[in-house]
Amino acid sequence: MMKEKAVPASRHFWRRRVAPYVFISPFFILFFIFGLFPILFSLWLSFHRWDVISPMEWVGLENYMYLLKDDWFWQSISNTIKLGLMSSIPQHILALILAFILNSQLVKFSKVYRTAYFMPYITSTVAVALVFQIIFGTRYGVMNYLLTPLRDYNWFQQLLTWLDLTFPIEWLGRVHTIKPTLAMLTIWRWTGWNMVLYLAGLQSIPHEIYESAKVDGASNWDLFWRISLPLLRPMMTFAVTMSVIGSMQAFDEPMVILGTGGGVGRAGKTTVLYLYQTSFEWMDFGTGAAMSYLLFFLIIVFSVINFRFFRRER
Amino acid sequence: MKKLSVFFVVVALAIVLTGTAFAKTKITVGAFPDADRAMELLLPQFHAEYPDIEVEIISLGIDDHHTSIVNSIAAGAPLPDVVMVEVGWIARITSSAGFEDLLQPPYNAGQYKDMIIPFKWTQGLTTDGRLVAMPKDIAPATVFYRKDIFEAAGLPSEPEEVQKLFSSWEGFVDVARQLKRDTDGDGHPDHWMLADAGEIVGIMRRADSAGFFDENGEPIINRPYLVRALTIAKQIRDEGLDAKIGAWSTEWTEAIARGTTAVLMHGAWMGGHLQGWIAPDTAGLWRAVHLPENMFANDGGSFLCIPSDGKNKEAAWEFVKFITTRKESQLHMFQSSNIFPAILAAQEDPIYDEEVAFFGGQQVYRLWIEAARQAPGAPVNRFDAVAQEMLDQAVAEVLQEGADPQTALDNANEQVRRRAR
Repeated sequence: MMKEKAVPASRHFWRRRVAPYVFISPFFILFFIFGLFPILFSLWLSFHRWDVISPMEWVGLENYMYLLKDDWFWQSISNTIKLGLMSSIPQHILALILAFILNSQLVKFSKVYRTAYFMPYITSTVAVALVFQIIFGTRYGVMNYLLTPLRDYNWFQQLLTWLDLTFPIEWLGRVHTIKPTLAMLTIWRWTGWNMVLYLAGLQSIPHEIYESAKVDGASNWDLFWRISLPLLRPMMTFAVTMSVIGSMQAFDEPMVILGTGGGVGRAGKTTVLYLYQTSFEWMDFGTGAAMSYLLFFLIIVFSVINFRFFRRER
Repeated sequence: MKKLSVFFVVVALAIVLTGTAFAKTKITVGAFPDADRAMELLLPQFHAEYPDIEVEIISLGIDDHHTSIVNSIAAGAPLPDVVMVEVGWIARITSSAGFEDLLQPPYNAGQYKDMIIPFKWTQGLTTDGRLVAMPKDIAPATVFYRKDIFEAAGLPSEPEEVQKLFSSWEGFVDVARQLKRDTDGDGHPDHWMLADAGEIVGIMRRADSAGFFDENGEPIINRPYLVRALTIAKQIRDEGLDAKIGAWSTEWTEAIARGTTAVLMHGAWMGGHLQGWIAPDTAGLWRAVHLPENMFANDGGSFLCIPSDGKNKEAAWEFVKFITTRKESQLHMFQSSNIFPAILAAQEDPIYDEEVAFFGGQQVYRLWIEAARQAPGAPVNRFDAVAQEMLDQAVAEVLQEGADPQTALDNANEQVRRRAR
């Protein structure tokens, strides 16, 4: 048996008190530089006027007051929320259904499908957005090409008139088509990610529960509504919260497809797109920073609402 | 961005190290295409004349280039010794404090003032009369059109005749009516004059001697001139005379290459783009004439600036002088990239009589010279980017959603007034 050596007090201090901090320091050092500093600096910045080139000028709450009275800012918030709803709701419904089907052993090759549905998520947004731009082009777009045989039918003309459209359809050129078109891209991209989350949630539900329900005569429909959904609640809270945060920060898809302007009538101008434009194109970094803080508070509010909603019936 | 700043630090270190080791001054020049290539081609000659100076050209896309310059200033990171700035960004540079006043010793750029096309010189001046941007090039604009398509539509197609057709914007719209054709007989038009009616507003704005703001800094976007421009564009759109394809999209280049659209209105550099990548197969089919209604415009052009923090400002100035004040350099860049000289002497040279094959042997250089002489230089303002965005929004609302030109521009003007604070 080895005799335990007495540890000198100083070494003891080092091991117990200092070492842990040294070991976790790399994260914190990086976090302070790239995480905390920008967060605090942009808060500080939001009380200034700064065009980057001239010295900063303290303006107090002026940037915030300006934004609260800015119709473009409120339009961008409304765009962001509408786009978020238009893309998140179908996305989660689709993801749930797909996850349930893949989990139910109704289909073969479920791993192939799982991978296929997840692919859009790991594909570069810029590449995807460029492809979408080609699909939804006015003259040479695939969508309009597919619709071309219909253009001489009366009912199709009437449908278009009813939708306030003309052929060829300007998918990305009309106020009322921009959001649905953008939402399609977001749905396509994020359904796979949510499906994987829900699949993981479903797989953690013990099989015995399903089996005993089946013995009691439950249909697939009952299994989905009465077992899977209630037991998925924690995962849904997580997935929906991620969606809320993600859609409040929507930027890359509208940026690549529509540019910083956000399209006709600014229909696709999200708040992050607007703050990017304000800061980097108009060189008004103070207002941009103030906008990011207003958005931050909005995200907190929505996250809390969402959290309450899914936790309510516990 | 991070990579870029690391790169700058490395470059800065390299400058210090080579400076001490070899006593050879190394300077960096931040530029964007096509001027990067045009200057690169001049480097052997510069190095031969200035063996003590070594120039390295750092190139980025035009938007990335300007963003990175602004970010470097913000972060206090070193800038290149010479910075190229496009006219759309120049007012933000001239309103800042970080660049050398080239009128002061040791630069004494005042001696070159008479060499340079006057409006360009003014654009490089700050409000308090410092010259922080040395004029490098201008971009006289013309109409580029496809002669064969005009012929196919039964229109006169020689430049002199087309110029007559374009004697007014009303005449221009008339031509548009005749160029809208259904060539495959399916009952739907498939050929148009323009890709995007909005181009009319873009070029007419550049043909005016007023900018976005008056001398008191008040926005003047809703002035009758621009209302008329928007009204003409709206007429073209409402009559279905354009292809409704946004400029610079993949569809747009495709439409030009296929001859779906027959007319473009841009700076001289458009010739370079057409030959280089958009439609090289259409060589010989293009012609150029002046803008409708005897208008002349500048569509682009850039400057060279020297950041005050630079370590090798004297070497940087030698390079700036070499590029901007020498006739030979300016001509060389024109020949290699159709970058149009800002110095008057370089505009008087036999090379401008050349019959250009891409334009079917037309003397288009002469045409550009004429345009350059008459194009107005509008004053620039540091809120130009905001105003441009508001104008673009107004154009989109009028063309896409049928808004009234006057109302849309009144709104745009109000938006600019609110934001220019």
